[in-house]
Amino acid sequence: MGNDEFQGTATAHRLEVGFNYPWPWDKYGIYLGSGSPPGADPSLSKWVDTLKANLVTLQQLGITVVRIFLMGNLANWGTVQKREWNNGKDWWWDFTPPSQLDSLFKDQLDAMFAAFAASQMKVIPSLVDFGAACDVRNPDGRGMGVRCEIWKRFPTQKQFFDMVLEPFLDISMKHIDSIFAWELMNEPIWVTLPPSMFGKPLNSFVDRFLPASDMETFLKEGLQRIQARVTTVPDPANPGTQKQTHAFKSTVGHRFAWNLDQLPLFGTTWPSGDIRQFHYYPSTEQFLDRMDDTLPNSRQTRGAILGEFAAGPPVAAKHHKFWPEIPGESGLSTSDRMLRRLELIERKGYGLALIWPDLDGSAPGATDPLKLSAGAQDGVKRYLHK
Amino acid sequence: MSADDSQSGGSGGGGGSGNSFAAQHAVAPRHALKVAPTDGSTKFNTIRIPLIPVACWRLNDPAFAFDSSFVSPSFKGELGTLSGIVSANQGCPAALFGHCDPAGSDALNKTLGDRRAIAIYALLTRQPDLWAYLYDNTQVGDTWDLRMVQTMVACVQDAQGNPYYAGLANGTKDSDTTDAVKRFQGDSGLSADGDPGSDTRKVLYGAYMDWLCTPLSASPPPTDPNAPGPIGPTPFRMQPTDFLGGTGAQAGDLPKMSLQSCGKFNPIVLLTTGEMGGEDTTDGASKTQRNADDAPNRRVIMFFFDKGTKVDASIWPCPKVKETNDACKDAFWPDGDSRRKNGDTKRLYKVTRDTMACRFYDRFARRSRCESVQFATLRIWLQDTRRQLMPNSPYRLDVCGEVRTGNADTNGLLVETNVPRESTCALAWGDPSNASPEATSDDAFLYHREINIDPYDSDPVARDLYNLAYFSEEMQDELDQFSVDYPGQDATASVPQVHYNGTPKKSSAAT
Repeated sequence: MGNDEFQGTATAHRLEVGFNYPWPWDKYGIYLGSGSPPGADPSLSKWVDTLKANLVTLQQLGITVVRIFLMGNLANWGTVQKREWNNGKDWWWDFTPPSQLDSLFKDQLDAMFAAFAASQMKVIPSLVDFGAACDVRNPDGRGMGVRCEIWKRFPTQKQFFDMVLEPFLDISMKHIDSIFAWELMNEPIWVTLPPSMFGKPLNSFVDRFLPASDMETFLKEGLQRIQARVTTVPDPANPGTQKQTHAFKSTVGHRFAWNLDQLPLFGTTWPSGDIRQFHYYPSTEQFLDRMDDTLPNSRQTRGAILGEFAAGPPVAAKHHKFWPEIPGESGLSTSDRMLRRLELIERKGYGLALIWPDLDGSAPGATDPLKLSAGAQDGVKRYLHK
Repeated sequence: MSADDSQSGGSGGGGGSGNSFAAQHAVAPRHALKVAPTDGSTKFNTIRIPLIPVACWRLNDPAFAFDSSFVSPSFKGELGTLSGIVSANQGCPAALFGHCDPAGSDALNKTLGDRRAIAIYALLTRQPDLWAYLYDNTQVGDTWDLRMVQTMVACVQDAQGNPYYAGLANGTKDSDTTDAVKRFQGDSGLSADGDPGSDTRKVLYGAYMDWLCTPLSASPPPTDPNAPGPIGPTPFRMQPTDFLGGTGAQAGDLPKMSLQSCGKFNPIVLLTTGEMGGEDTTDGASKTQRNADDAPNRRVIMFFFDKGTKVDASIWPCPKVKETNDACKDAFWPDGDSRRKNGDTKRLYKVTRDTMACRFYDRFARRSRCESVQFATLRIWLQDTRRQLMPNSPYRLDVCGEVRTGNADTNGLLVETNVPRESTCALAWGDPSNASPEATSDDAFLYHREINIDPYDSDPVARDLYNLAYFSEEMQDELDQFSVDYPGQDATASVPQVHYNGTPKKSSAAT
């Protein structure tokens, strides 16, 4: 046996860099619609103006796509009431959807799309986050989800799609060119994992765990509704004619690359939409994270986009670690780390990767400081402008 | 892909290419151990630390003739790889594994593998008595006789640096042979009767072992042994304690774990039943072609383990040399016998990974560059983002930690030979005016890609589309776009043929 021989062609490509906004100030779940209940905090209404200012900064960095969480944990969609029994030792959350969608949601969304159009940037609106399943934890609205009914009860799910998704899609139809993809949900896996997989009880984290099949139903129905919006474009195969196509590329923000394929422990495959998407945070402790210890290449993920990766060193949670494929990363400056991460992602063949910010949110003010450190911004600049 | 593999000597190629090979293994990933709390008395956690080789050395077939355990003179040329890897792994205990080809019975091959392992172990630890055992205890097909004596006196040199014997190793005791033996005996302080008896042979074994273990480049001894002159290098030698089972080993011992034979249980090439000449493979040397094709299986592998590794011999699954191979089967894969069986198609371990019967050995082999990692020639055309070729482009190629730098040719073609055959490589390249081939920093290059380079990729079209920077989920979308970018190319049949066969083709973007 002699040497084997490989022949091929390597074609260069550049990575498009995006950014997770992901919500103005620290107002996760309540900025859109200005408070909970909607309109309760009119000062939040200026979030579109602060977004406009930040889009200018992002555009100057060379960032082209921004992902933003719209309803987040649904804290301002309907109400919840704590119902206790067993002398207060046990309780459940009684969720009541609103009777109609406040017009503030639609007006602000329309203004947001217009802001993206004005800045010639594209947006990935993400409708709902797994946080909508979370128990009450923080007084500022974080964690105030406990609205599992949108996944678990078909009537509530239909109500959510009819009352929120469809009007949002109506508005989106006016801004097709500004929408990179329409995301139905962020990281659905967290709502369906049994506690045993974490090695600790999650009762304080997620109100209820859903069967993976319930989530599959939700994703299928929601994606179908997004894909049902069509537009006409010239048909290159038949010059002079037009053909119908999806108005928006649909997507789901899966947490792990392995969520894109058959879920190994659930025996089911969740839909991923038109654009496959996953998030990458290498981790040391959790069994599930370790399944994605190194970044798979885009052939393995079949052309997925990288919807989230951390700008900074071990992102917030203590179990996240430095990237194992970047030797000595812990000793790098923030700028160098950002640069190396982008280069690694480019090397793996990804077309688009969106940074998760490395700074926390702020209290609402006239400005909304961009949650991306100066070092991280410098790394992005060095990558995109070299 | 690991960043820690590195090659140490050897010109590459699969088994049977007539050389040896040594390599450091990639550093095995370390995982945190998770243990449950215990009450300290009745409950406990069982932690089994995997035994992972850190380096390997492989001696290919030409060191042994077919059916023979005699170490041929060709071993001398392989010394450099061995001494290099031993030197780089000081304190790492070693274990030898002898392997045979699948012809013949299990028992016969176990014995032959034992004898080859003994021959190499004795050579490295310089124990002529063990070779005397092999000579005195002939086995079917493996007979040490006058031919071996003739071979040895043809290699061992007198004080003038000349071999004692210049004739053929044909087993005929002619006057040249007797004279050569006499001269050797005289120079060695033995009774010069020309009879290569056991005493003479033992001394001859020692001299031949030293000759085998002295580097080829060593200076010849001075003409006058009393005259001042260069002193030759010390022959390479290992101690029994350098091996995994060597603690307390005495001369003449064949310690468990230090050396063993896998017989025919762990082939790396499985010919078809037809190529083997049918089910009955006991017909020995008459199958010349088969024996040549089976050559990669005839090998000795030495694994080195982490410094300080100690293993309880009672749980080591391999039987000692000279014992039967019954115990081997306890460590087989459940389908071990079918794995090692010749069938309708030829199988290579490096491709199918399913030819070894023993799971214990397979676990070592799977990560070892001596058993499963082969070499390849890479020919990669370099294009920019507009799909234009980049003549003279500087590049930095990283295959499993082995880094090559250079410039593409005037057509934009990168050629690298003898690189480890891996599924991917990290490739950086750029404009000749912006980077030098000596550059080691990624910053020096404009483009960075992970490129799939497995010649045996199960989906070569997907592999090549990926390399050509088509990343869509749907292959049909990629093929459609490929047709636009490369008009006239047959996308479904020959995606890789973008630039092959003579003058590179320009893409539409380039024209």
